Amino acid sequence: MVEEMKLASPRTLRILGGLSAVMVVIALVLVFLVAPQERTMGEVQRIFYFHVGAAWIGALAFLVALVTGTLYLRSGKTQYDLISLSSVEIGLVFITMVLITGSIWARPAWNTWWVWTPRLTTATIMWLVYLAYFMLRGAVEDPNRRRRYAAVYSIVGFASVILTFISTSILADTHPALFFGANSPQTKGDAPLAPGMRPAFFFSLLTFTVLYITFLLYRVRLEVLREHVEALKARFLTP
Amino acid sequence: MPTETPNTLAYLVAGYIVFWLITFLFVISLVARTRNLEKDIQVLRTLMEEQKEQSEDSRKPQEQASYRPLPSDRR
Repeated sequence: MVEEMKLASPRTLRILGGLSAVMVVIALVLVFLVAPQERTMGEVQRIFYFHVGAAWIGALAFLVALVTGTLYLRSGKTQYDLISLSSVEIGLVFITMVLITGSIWARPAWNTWWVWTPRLTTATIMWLVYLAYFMLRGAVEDPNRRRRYAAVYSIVGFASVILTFISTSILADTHPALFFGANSPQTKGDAPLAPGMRPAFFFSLLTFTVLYITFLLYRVRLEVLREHVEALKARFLTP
Repeated sequence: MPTETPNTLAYLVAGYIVFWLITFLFVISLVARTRNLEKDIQVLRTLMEEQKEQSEDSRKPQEQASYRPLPSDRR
């Protein structure tokens, strides 16, 4: 089944890698040279652009895992499981980034490294849920059963992403609700982005999306190679 | 009354260092794992070739041993 999978050519990967690098440089220029300095927090607020970008990628990666997990359960094609696994790994890397950079930002902004607010609590739960995804995969020996369990887990685990996303809208939180539920009475009210900050913010989101696609293609290639090694080992060991 | 903007540059630098560190570690891990697997494939292919050659070599003497001259050969 994996043999049927069409992989990105090395040329495509190189182009995407180059494009990602260029976009990251432009995003950094926009963040540091174009976006205005925030008055109350000072320079540290510039973490926001990459912090939200990484969070967006985490959510997108887990959504891709949910979709490919569903497709695997419907079709039984191994390629969907490989994409799902790769996407969860990338999502976990980016969510780790979000938690650490958020904590660094919290120190000068809230005068503490960590507070168990609804957003931080649900984000930590989400991180743990997806960390457990790898434990689950490692615990099941039978490949078909492992893929099936992982697919179901990636679907169920997505509830933690939804919970993290809506937490600031339904519960009182120090995190501002930027878009969804920004005017809800539970939140701290409207937190609009200054017009000067918008190009850096939206371009960072786009950059992180391209970066995610690049990482995903490389990561899927790695997983296909692993399947190939397993197939060769099986052939070699069969008398 | 206007408030003074705090100097939080050190935290900004720390945040971006963490970001780049994690990104580079992930990229390095991707490259290392890919290289290891490519090496594994190479080794397995070589082993399979050797195994194939060995099985061909071991078949040859058997073929020679099982050779019985036909009466026409004696002439």
